Amino acid sequence: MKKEIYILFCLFMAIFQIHSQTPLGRVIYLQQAETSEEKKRNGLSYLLFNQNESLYIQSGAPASAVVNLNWDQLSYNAGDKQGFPIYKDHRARKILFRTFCYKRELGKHCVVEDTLGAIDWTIDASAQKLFGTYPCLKATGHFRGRDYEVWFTPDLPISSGPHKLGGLPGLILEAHSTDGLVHFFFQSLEISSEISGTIQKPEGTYTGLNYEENKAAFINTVKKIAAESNAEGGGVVTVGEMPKNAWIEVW
Amino acid sequence: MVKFLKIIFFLTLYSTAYNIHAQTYLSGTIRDSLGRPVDFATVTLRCAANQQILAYTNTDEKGAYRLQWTRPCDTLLVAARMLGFQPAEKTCFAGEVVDLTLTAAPNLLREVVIRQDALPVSGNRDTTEFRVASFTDSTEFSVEDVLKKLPGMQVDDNGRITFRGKPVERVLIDGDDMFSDNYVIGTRNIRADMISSVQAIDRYQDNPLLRDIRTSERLVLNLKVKDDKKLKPSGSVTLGGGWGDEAKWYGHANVFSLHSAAKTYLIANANNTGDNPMGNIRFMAKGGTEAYLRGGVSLQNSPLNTAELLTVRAPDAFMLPTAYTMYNRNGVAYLGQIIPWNTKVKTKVSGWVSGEKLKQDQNRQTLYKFSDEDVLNINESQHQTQTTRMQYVQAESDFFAEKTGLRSFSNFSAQQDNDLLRLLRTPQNEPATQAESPLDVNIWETYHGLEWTQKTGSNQAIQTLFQYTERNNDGLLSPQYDQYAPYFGLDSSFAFLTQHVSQHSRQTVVTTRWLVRKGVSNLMLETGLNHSTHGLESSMRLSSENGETYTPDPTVYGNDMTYRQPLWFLNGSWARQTEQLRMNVKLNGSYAPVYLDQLETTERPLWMFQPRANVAFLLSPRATLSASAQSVQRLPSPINLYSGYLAQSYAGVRRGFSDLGLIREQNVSLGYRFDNNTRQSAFNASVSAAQTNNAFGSSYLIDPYLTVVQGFRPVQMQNLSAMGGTSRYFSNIRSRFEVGVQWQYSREPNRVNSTEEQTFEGQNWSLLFKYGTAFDFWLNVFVESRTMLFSSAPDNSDDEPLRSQYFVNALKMVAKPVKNLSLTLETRQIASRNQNDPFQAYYAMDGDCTYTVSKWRSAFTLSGNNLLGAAAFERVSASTFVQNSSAVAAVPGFVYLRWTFQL
Repeated sequence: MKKEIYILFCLFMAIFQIHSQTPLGRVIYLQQAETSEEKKRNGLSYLLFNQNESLYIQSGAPASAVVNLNWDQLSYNAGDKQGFPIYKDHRARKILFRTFCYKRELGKHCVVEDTLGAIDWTIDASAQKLFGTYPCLKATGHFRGRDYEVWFTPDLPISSGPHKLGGLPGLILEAHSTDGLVHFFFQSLEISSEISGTIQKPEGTYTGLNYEENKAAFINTVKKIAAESNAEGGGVVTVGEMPKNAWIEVW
Repeated sequence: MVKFLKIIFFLTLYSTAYNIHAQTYLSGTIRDSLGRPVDFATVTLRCAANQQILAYTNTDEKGAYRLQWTRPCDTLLVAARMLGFQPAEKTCFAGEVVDLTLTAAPNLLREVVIRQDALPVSGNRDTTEFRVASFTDSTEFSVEDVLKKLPGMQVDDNGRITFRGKPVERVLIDGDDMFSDNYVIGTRNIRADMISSVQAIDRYQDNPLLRDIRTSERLVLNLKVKDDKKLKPSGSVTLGGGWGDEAKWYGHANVFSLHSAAKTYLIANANNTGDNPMGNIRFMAKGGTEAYLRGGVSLQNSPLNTAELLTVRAPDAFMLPTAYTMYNRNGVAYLGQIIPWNTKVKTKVSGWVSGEKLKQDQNRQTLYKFSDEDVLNINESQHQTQTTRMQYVQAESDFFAEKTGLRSFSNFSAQQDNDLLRLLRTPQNEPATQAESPLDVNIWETYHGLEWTQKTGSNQAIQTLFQYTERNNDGLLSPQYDQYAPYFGLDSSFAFLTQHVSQHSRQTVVTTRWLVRKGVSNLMLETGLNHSTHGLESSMRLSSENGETYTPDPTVYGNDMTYRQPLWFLNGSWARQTEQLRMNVKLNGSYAPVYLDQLETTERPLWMFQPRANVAFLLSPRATLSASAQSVQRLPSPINLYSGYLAQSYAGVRRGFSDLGLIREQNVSLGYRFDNNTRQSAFNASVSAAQTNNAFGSSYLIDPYLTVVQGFRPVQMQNLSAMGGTSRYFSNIRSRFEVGVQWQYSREPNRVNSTEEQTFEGQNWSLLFKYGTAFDFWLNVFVESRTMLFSSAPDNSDDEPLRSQYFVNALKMVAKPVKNLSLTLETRQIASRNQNDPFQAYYAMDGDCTYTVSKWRSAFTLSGNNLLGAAAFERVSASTFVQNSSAVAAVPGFVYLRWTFQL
């Protein structure tokens, strides 16, 4: 029996090793989003990266935070002890990010798919800026309702950046939305063989939904809850549109 | 044929266009030095002429790539990059097949750490966080030195702080309030290098059960202690000494023990080098009914009325640090401890003792112009000493469970003042008179508050608050001044006055409050009783040199009274706060009968109402438009007004008593603020207007030797003000600029040596310019220039208004020629003039030089004051009917050396 447990343990470790890769570097950003929902995650965030994949952790997010939707007894946990990780597979141009399950139980976390590099960037090589010893070029692009101005360094040919930004021929070290509401300020860059942490896919229920499907699921869920609440005779609850500046990604 | 040629032409054109389009691609393979394909290398294509990136992609598992682009370019540069390889680049032309070889370079990605300075300013709507390291250059000694450098933060001469024009109520250390209202002890004595950041928290709520349930207008600062200072007892001890016209000494200790659950703070400062570690903390001038009505009932606010029955003129700093104009002996010792009994119960105890002695010599020439014919010119030469001792202790205990909170707060404070004024008064064309006026005051106060909070739902709570304050104030004024005798019809030998005043007050407030939040709205209703009693007893006696005494008839000059006021109040407020809008509406109503003994008054109003509304609209996340309006009705406290018939100072008498008429005030203001925190720029502008009816105007009867003030006539006063300012940090030139302008207008009626009322109109202008650099260079400079213009005149006069003008210019240079050495040198120029007279200017210079020896955990600072050796500072001023020309004796230049040891 002990031997079987040992074999299982080794098998588990082997699988674990396959799915978690050693980072070659780490960028620390200061995430500042003046959006009503996502500002709760403001603070330092980390991007662990290697050539093939990267993992963005929003450590400013509270581990748990109860958000009351102003309806009695309807509240959900707006925090995540894992920091809402965003995993990017550079090669497959795929993003897996941890967010809320928009099923009936609000507050649980699920993993949702998205696309990396779907941004049509315009690179302005004439605009250059130095971050430490790394020269950066400016690129502009539109991503989910906001225009972004980013600084990336071709010297680090990693197709990633803060949050879901990426798809450039270099690592994005700083990014700002032109409406002034979303900022990812560069704090530090560290390239070392001794960076702690692993790049691994987020934990949670894999729904198989993509970003748009997950969004639709949320709206459906809220409408359903509102309808139930109304049906209980507790008052008329109407579901309006999500405010434009609620999230970094505009709904 | 023509048709055929057209077809050929179009075919050719189409073919050419197709070929051009078809040629804008490039392909190839990327291999390593061993010929193996490199998978997922990044390939970029640039135009050689302008370096613009035309296209980019990644190689597939066979190392192959294909790039396509549309922008025209003749000569191309294709580059391949991959972590761990030397980048490869080749010049090529469109349509070519370009293969590149990447050479492995495992050491190319050397271990590297690059750090960008963290944001100097960050935060969200209510909290602005300043990273201290971004604003300091290691020349700052105390937190106050840091605060003065933070954008939007103003620190006045007494150490009181405002942020974006709003007064700071408390200063916390890592979230704990250890100083209550006396935070200057903390900001002036906590070392700058102890803290990592300063948070300005607006709408601060100190009761965690009421977060989101109760709205708050409180602004507090939170000092975040550096993490490494929490690992073990840390801090610093500073000792110093030097020489000027007397021996100079300096001692400072700042020790924090934050590594265990119980946190201890120790602060001590003693010096005669002009350092005032206390600001202007004086129990005589704190609290009061007005503060109570403005700020509402708060656990840590004593609502007790206070009265300064006997006055003493404070030494004048002449717009300079006090070290220039006053000899001082200062000392303070503060000890604070936080004891967490368990996760729910915490006790905070702190206390301090202090002593201060100031000495100053001054000459003053005062010209009173009552009319063109009636002019009085008085020359005074005075020597003043002022000694103050204070003792203070406070204790706060908090218990917070999930739904229940219980807090208690108690303090005891005491103050002993001994002031002495020796004076030679020489009116023009009149004999000189000598006066010696000692004033001794003893005050003690004790305050106890108990607050119980119960959450009755997720969005509602009830609170009960009990407060009790008791205060005793004893004063003895005993001037030797022969001008009192004729006032009482006595011969001039009765030159010794003894005036004793004793005041005793008690106040009890019981408040019950209901708070609820519904959606984005907050509602509060509170009711209770504020019961206060005051008693005033005094005695007056005149003595002659021969020992004869005279006691003024108490039925004529009687000044005793007792007063009781039960005030039942009902306050309601409604607030609505959304992302775009913040609105607060408040209505306070109270019923307040007054019971007076030994005094007659014809009006005793019972009902008072105070509607107030303010609204702030967020135009954008950084721009706010705000407006407020309030109408205040308040009953003046007799204890603050009534002094019967009392000598207040050596040459001042105040008499008279008002009817208890309601004071009615109306205020409106409009403001706009733009604050781009993250980019360090700000803009603000505001206008406000206020009118006060039934305020208490005074009648002045000024003769060459004695001033009689008969006060408390109902009058109407108006004030208008407008201000605006902008600041911006330009990172490309590493410089910060700030400009500001302020204008104030006031109308105030007075009677001066006349039964006729004269309304004086006054205008003040203030212009500010500041410039500071943040070079990565060994030298930085800071310039501040302030221009002030005061003008005033009676509104019914054709005379030219009295004008006085000031220039206050300061240049500070901070140099760091080598790593461990820093130098600061500050030069000030202060110039003043009345009307169009020539400017009267004085100059002052002081500086520090600090050398740090890390190995010894020590820093040595050589400081010098009044380095230009000025003997006196002279200044002129004018307002309403008075023109002044003053000269203060300077403290001769001195130098002293301080040794600071880091624990």
